[in-house]
Amino acid sequence: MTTNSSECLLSGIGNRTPKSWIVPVLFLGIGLGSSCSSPEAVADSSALFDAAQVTEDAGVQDASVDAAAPAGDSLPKGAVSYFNRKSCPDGWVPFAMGAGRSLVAAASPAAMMNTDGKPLLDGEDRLHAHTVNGSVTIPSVNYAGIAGEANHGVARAGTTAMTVVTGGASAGIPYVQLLACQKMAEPDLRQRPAASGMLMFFMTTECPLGWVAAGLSQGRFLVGKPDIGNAGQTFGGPPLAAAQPISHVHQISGTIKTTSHGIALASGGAAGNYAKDDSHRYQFATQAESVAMPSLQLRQCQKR
Amino acid sequence: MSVIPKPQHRLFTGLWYCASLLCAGLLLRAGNAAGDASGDADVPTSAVVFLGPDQTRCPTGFRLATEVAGRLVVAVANGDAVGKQIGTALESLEDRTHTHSFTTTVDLPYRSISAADGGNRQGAAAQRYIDGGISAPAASGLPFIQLMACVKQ
Repeated sequence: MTTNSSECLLSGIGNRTPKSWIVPVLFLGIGLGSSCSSPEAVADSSALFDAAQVTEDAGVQDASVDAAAPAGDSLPKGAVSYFNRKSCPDGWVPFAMGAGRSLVAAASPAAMMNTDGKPLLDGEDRLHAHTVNGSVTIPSVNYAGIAGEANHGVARAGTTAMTVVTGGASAGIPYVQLLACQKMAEPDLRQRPAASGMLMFFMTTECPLGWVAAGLSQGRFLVGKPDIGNAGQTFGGPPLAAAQPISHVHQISGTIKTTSHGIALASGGAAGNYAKDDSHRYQFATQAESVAMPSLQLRQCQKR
Repeated sequence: MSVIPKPQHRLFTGLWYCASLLCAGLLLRAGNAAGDASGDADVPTSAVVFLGPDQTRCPTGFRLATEVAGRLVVAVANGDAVGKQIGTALESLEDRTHTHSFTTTVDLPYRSISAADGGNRQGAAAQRYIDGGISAPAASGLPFIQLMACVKQ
């Protein structure tokens, strides 16, 4: 219904013609919640027959209104939403900019439209690896002899760089693929307003009227609340920040078990700095690396 | 010439004015409660929305988005890709960890000694050594927030 019932009724009451009592007749006859007839029709209150005619007209109006029933939605233009459907609804277009990315509430106005990582392909479980700068330290033994040529069979003691290769691994971050669409149409104000507390992304720098900037979710990936658990809880790393890349490291540890090499000399003496045959423990951290979960930061607003 | 209304007529008119005001009040209340809106399409059908941190129930006309429970959402532009789930859903507040396989290689250089090979095997041979294993687990470092996710029906 496009007619404001209360305005219509009040205008009818304001018509102080001698037969203005027909106004309540119309409303009581039509019933609460039915369409208000036009002011002109209400003013034309010459007879009860007329009133019946107006009622019929009102029904026709309802029919015509139904024919042009609201087809849009009340969300503001510029809204960006996920959909579990194959195509965008009327008034919305695919949000290509976000394809392959998870939408994140911008941590700051300056972070709007910031992207991180390459978009995921359909069904991609992205892998990452780490570079490592490691070394192992081998203690020394001495021989009762002279250092120098020409036996090259024994290793040198001390710290030696290692070459470390890590395999690619998924971070195991689970996700579901949903269609993302951007609203291009103006809001249909005949529709019910969005529910209070609803979050919505926007391609605007400011939140629309009736919406306020989301707080706790800023700079965080949104996870659907599992069956067991409470909503509104944060976990993981600190919120995204422009100058703070999100990364992680792993500890690497192991043992180098050397092979002995026999020398025809007694132990001890002046010839030192030869590697001891033993099991040698090493431990170090990988270089920091991102799991490359691609994101796009947008303004996120919450309905008042 | 002034017309003096009949008492009955005046009473009848007065009653209807009262009825009018009553109707007006009821309609105003109804209008305000519905936001003067006739449609229930606050968002389009199948829209998947998150709710603010203090929201614990889906709004009227929505169902719980079980397909999003324990998962991030990745946007796609291709309808055929919609609905695919990758990975195992997170438990509540689970900061999932992962590991990497690794291989280490070290070449221990020789240190010369003026002696023949013999029976003292205290020294390690100068050669390439290879080791490998699994790294310690680590979380991604990504920041998360778990929120109610609902689907418009």
